[in-house]
Amino acid sequence: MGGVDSVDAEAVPGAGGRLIRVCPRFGWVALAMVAVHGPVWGQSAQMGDLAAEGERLARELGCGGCHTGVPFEEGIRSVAPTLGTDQVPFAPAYVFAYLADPRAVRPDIAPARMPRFDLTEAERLALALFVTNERELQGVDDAFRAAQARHPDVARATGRDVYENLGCGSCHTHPDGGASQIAPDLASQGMRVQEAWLRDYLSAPTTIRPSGSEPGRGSRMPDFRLTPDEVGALAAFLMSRQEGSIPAWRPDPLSPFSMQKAETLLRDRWSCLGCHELGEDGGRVGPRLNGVAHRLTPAFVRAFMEDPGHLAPGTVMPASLEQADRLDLIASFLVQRPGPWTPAERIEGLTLAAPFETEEAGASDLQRPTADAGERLYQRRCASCHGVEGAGDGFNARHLPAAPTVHADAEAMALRPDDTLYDGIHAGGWILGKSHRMPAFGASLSPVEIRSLVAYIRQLCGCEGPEWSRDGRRGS
Amino acid sequence: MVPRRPPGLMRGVAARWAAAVVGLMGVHACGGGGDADTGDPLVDGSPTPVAQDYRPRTSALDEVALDDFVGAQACAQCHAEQFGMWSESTHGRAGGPPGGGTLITSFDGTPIEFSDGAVIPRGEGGAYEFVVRQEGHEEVRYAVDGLIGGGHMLGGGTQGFVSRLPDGTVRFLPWDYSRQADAWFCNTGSRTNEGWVVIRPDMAMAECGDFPPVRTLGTYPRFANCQSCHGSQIEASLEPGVGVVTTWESLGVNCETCHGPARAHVAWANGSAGGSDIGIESRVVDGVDESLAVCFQCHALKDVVQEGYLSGMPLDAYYALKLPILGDDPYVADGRVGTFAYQGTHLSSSCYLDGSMTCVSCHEPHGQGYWDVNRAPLASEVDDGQCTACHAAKAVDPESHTGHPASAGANCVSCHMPYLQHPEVGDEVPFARSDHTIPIPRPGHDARMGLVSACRTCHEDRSEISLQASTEDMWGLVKPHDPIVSGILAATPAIGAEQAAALLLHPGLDRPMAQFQALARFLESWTALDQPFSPEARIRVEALADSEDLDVRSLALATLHWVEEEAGAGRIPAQPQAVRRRWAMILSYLGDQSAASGDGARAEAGYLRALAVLPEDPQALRSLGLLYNQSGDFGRAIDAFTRSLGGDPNQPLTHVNLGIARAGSGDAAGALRSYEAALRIDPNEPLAHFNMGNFHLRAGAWEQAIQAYGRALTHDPGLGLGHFNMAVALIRAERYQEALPHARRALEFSPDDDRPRQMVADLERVLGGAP
Repeated sequence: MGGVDSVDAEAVPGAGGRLIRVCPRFGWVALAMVAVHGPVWGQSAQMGDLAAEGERLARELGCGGCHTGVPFEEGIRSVAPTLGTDQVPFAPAYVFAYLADPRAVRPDIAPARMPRFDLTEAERLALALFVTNERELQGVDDAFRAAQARHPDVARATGRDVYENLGCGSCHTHPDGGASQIAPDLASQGMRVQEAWLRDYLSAPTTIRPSGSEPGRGSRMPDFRLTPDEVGALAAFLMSRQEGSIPAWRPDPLSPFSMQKAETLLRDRWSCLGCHELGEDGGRVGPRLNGVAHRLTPAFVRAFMEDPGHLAPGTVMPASLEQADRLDLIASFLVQRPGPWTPAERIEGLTLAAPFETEEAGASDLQRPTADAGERLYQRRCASCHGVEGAGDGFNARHLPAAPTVHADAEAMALRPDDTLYDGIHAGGWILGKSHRMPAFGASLSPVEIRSLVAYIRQLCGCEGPEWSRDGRRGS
Repeated sequence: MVPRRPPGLMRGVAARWAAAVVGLMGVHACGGGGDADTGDPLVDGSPTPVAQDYRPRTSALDEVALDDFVGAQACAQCHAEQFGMWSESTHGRAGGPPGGGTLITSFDGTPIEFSDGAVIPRGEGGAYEFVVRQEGHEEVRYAVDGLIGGGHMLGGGTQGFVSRLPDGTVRFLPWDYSRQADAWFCNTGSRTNEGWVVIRPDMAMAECGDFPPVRTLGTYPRFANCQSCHGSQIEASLEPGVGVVTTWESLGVNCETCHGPARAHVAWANGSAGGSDIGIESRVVDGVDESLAVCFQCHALKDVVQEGYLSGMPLDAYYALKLPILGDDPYVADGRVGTFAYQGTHLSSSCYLDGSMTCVSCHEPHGQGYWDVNRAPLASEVDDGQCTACHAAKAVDPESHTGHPASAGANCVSCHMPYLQHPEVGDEVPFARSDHTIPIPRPGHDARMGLVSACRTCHEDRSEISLQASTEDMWGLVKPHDPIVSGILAATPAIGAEQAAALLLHPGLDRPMAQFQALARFLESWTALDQPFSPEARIRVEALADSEDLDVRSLALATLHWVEEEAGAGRIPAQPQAVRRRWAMILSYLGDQSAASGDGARAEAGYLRALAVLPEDPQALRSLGLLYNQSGDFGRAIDAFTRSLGGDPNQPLTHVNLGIARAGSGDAAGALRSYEAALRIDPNEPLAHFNMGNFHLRAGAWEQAIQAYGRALTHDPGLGLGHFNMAVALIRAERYQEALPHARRALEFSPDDDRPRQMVADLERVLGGAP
């Protein structure tokens, strides 16, 4: 497509726009996009006329006074970028917008001297087409149409441009680029979220996980100030990706009674609200459950509850030990609970605990329990509530109805057998008669990992369990 | 044929027994796990205290009425899956009409042999009966109108039988069947008190405590714990002018027993079916104690705080689960069954106390199968998943914990939930229930508690000493008992009150069952009326008086009140009614204990303090009246009974006691009015008829006395004293032939008593030596 190197893929008539890397020195960060309205690309018969009008305007305005590559009779002044060559780095859409308000398009660099000419829309359009590539305009159009025919899935391609140009892969994992664990895996967004919500979110990103995608990391999704068309394209691109599969599932229609029952289970029996907020109640580790119906797809909610690690490898959320009928009930409740999705309150200034990679690195070769491995697991899975040093003062502690156990308390911990600690980690706080908001990790952590956590807790308290509890001692 | 005898001899017999209308034997005495004692009704000049009135199920506090229940079938359409599971469950098949495979033994006419006759179970096709043929008595037939139990329990399943008698009451028949023993047995409580015994040909029929049938389904006085549980919505209501009328929805345990009344729910389902109020409560969201309360309606020993309980009502407003500990040893020191206690032992388990285990953590409630705490189905009652879903650490390498190779004997429950025979039953009829205290096997300690250690379940050939040594070798130290249990074990009678308080009273621990056991022991052994506490004891008792547990708090308050009247009385206004009821019950119990030991002043103090807690409490007033009757203070007795009736006028036995007091005070006409008042409430009340008979006997109106005793014995053929007095009246009327069977009955029910023996001998002699 001519020489517009950043638009090497397909564009879509009427569907949005084209991206231009306007500031390569800022890498993926500083991008902009202009809309190219359908009629421009869709009515090629008018192109030649518009280009001629553009040339006339260029002469009239004296563009060649600063730019090379445009007609100017009195000589060449090279105080501004070259125009009108085969290698013009700007796309017509960009120029179109730029002409309307040169300062607004590139506010982040030095004040532009490009004057604002108060052009009409038609004038801007004509100029944009002329200066970008007057001589090969017809070719551009042809190439575009040919590409469109070859790639009917144009939105995806356009969205991928957005994804690539925003550098989303710097934080996210995605098959089209990016393998970072900093932010949530986007490979399954199409199964995961509702597109309408995603559009809203991309338009104005807000906090989903109050403490970040990794507990304690903080929520860092930037606001790229995307245009509606960028949003649409990116959302469509992300929604098109459905890596893996989740079982088809439809929520059960719940009576008001069942809704109430499910909510009571969530609040009074299950551990979910240890990390998630429902209404104003609950922890701040995971995403708010308010408005899940607007944010997530029902099948994803159901599947994620059963085995979050499968859909989001490395997530701190443990797999549920509950039975399918209860998962159906709770998932049905969440996706039918009335009320809009509301962003969470972002928690600032958190101490980052061990990232997933660290935990994985420690756990992958665990043949026997070690306190080191336990520490990595602890920092990632436990510290949000129990505190980085086991003082019971994790950032989430103040959002819990019962104070988390202080693992650094030697006196109290010396009364608890290792097996009791193990059981609590495996089966959750409920079975120990303690807070039901302490989750059960038994379906997510291996016995060696749980023993490692126990070993680390013993390191935190500097104590041992009661002598009688050292099971299996023979002949003593 | 009536043998002819010389008149002189006849007169001689009449003369001997002319003034012999005396109290002989206790009737309705407590036994076999019973909680009630109807007292010791006497005749003649010794007014008889009659305790434990029956009360109809109507109360201003009731929020649930029988009409609110609809029966299980109403649930079937919408809840087909649960209904289907329930229908096949032990609850669903816990009892019902006979036939259709529900009987666990054959009614083929094979007699149950006794030394004095035989009982013949016979019938087919849904019509079954027991034919009682006893020497010296006419044949009696009892139709089997209902089965109680289906013999399902693994540790000992039994089946009992009820029959609707001509007076309209539905009564338990004295003979039960044990599936495991494959034998007929009976409860000897109140007679020989040997527990449950397999019926042998050398046994007399009267050795069975419920012979002739006396125990009315749905009433409280005898075995209150059983009556309402082997069935659903069993209601024994006292219809004025009619008597006790027993109705039930089912003799199984139906949906509404656990879920509460469903009429509103059915109306909801048939109507709008909208809104979050569906007219019934979901058990899914029950907390731990709420969930336990559903099962403890039946599966726990308890005292009646207030009569009139129906499913759906708050259990602790009507029952106190720990009060039976007072004056009895239903639990040994560590909470295991000492006499007979069902699964209330769960309250002493660490899984409950240190965890959140409920019955439905392991028992699937609809089909009565097994599942784990996460509701994952389990294969059987011995599946380790019941335990390892929580005790996951032990599941990683089970053998390192068990020290035993994987085997049927190395399941979790093999060692931690052994089946223990309930001691009060005896050892003839299997009635073992798995130990729901879920203890650690401690063979030495177990033996000291009088219990069979789990180890001996397999290692029968080894001594406790040997087994104890092995456990120490294999596991080293085991978890110590908590301080309260240790205190109970260490508090020997020889220690002083201060030391006992330190050992027994631990207000800071969340161990309500053990706290109650320990405080009860402290109260009964280391306190005395108006003998102030030691400083340490006072602090501890006062702290326990702030317990959140209603029973513990009530016991502590009663202890405080008993020992230091003002300190206790000062706390009355702040306590809720549920505590005050218990508190008054405990003080009345202390009064009863004192009365039984002959200390009338102390007994009076107990009752009066109970009345301070619950002013004009009809029960405390009745107890006070009985005390005054016993001491011959009839004026005050009349006052107490009259006040009791002022608060609760529909108590026939209080009228009877008032009549006895009036008779004692010389007001024969007033006594008669009281007996008549009792009979207006319950025309079948045997003790009213009996005392009426006594009235006529004293007046020399033999025939009227005979008629009154006849009515008493119709309604309670097991009333031995009634038979004796009937025989006296018949002798006075010179109807010796008729007197003899009654004299024999009197002897039968009190074989160690000389007077009926002498009477039988006299009658047999004058009648020609009939056997």
